[in-house]
Amino acid sequence: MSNAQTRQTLLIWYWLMALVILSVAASYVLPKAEALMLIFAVALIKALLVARNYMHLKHESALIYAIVLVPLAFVIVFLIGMIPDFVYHPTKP
Amino acid sequence: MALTTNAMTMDRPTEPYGKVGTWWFLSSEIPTFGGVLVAYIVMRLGGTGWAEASQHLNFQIALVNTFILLTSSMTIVQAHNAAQEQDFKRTANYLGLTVVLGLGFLGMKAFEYATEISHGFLPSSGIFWSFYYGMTGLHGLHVVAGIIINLVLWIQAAKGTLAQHSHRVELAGLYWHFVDIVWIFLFPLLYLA
Repeated sequence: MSNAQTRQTLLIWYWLMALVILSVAASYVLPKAEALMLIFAVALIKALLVARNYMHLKHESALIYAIVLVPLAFVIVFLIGMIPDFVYHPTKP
Repeated sequence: MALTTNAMTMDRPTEPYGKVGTWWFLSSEIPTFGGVLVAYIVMRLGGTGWAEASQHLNFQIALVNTFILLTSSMTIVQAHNAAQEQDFKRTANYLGLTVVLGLGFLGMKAFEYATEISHGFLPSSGIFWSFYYGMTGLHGLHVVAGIIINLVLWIQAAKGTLAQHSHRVELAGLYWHFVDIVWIFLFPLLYLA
């Protein structure tokens, strides 16, 4: 196995581990609202690191991007469309 | 003649069918998990008491499971790297390690479920718990499927029959990473928020 590939794979793994620790630390140290913003930003970065590097998305063609992004866009539209529901109809646990 | 050759080249698929098929499958999983996550976010933003309910979850186990799953993503990439270099002994070792880590994740999750159930927190205990068991259960089933796929490839690698199908390690990896990405969002939504 080439050293460059192994180094790159391990480097991404180190980043993922560090980001998990960062988000856990944020949940203890920061105020709730700031912590949540940081935690979900970090989750997004971790997902992108895995998708781009481990799933090789950064080397993929437009076809693969289209296959991934279209359903993702639907989910985002679904989220935006649902916002009025929680604004006007609060729920109980 | 040159034009004909170019036209034929353009007609050829640029991506292997297996990879396109796997991405198509994963694209169908995005609305599945995305829909559940959106429903959870919307219900939680519109309700009260969700953070209090989530305090009863075992954060330490979930944190260890996060490290386990992220590490298993790294090991399956190493398996893919080894398969590309036709080093199937190393491929088998890394696939085996990925299977063990997947089983470790499930074992920890089973222990966590058992603890929660013993404390009286069932899927019927409230909407938070319905979402919790529903989302982690669906994710757990995907982990089980991934373990089976990786186990089959591990057997093939150990028997030396993977050489003709080494691209399957990449496809199994794509699926395994997707399962990992779902957990990357489940962990903060359930345990940190």
